[in-house]
Amino acid sequence: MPSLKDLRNRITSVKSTQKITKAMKMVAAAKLRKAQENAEKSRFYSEKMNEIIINLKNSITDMSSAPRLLTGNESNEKHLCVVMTADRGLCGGFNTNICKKSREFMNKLLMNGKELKIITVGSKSYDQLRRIYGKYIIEKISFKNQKKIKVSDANLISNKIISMFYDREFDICTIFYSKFKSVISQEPVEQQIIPVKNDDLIKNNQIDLVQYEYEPDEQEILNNLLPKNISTQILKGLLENAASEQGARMSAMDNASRNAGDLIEKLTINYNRSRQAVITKELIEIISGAETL
Amino acid sequence: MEVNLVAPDKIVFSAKDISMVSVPGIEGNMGIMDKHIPIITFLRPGIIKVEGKEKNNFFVISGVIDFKDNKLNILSDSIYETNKIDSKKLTELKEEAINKINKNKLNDQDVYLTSTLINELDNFNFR
Repeated sequence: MPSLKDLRNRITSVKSTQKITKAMKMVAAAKLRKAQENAEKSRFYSEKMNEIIINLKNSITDMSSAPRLLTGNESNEKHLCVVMTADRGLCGGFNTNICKKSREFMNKLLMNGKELKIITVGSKSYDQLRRIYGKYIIEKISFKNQKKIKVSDANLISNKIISMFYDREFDICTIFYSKFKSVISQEPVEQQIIPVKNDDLIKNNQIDLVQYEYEPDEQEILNNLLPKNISTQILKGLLENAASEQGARMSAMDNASRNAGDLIEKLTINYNRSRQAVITKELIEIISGAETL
Repeated sequence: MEVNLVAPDKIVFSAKDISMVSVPGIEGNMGIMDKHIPIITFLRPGIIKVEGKEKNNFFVISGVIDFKDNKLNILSDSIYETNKIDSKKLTELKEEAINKINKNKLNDQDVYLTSTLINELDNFNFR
């Protein structure tokens, strides 16, 4: 049985842990509001961009001369996976969920004998993937020292991807990030960005196709728009991630604080009981000592 | 018609009941009014004028226009309200443009766009 002093120490240590988790929760809540706002603001832009591109894709009649970013290389042997996670831990299953999703996808690719390349964005994905997939990782990008995600950050990643694509280093590019649904629910998603995939969207009738007038012609617009779209999709992923991270951290820290509270209660009861037991024991000793006299 | 000016990180301007928007299209200035046919086109550097109950002007460097169902969406990663832009920002943008034109090997279109940008910046008089 632990001594009174041990119990006392444990209670203080749990209490200080609780203080930390509570503080982290507050900080995450404050950051969440901003990140959520940013993510929601960026959605409109990326949705519109996607809409325009899908419309363009459907109006192109001569697929053979269409830009390669749209139609892809003919083969689908080489895959590039861009796994985007946070730079910090202590946010529940957030990072792990994204990595899990990407691992499933990569395993499938490797089983089918495809070539695999990985770019990790955020240090946590590198930490989690390097053990098994270390030899496939060609680049790790981290924005650890940055407070806010900027458009130029997304451009940096997308430029890298695009130049790799033109060098024929991969055929298909998929990005992994976590979609921010609500504070308590974040969904890891995979999204193919090269070539543009649109079948799902049209099937669900989410986008209505309109006959547009184009100025200049479709080809030129696409050539100009596709690189922008990739950077937009990546920016969207980064911003959704930022919001998801704070949401996940908030609920994780909320849970942790609650667990710490439960633990403190239990330990306090334990502590009081053993203190009482000590008192009772001393009393019995005194009484029995007095009786023998 | 409804007008939305959107940057990647925020919605810069949004309003209904706009009577006309004139934009610097890549193949010439364009005035878009109610019930225009659906159109997608690019912007060259210049001023977007939005005319509704109030007049609002915006300076853009590049972007895409999408008009459909009486809704005009302008997507741009470089859009500034003209009354919020200051001379410091102007010189910054100009230096960037001059660097771009000097350093990189640009194709004809990029050269045209960048020199238009420099011209526009020179003529910018806080409209």
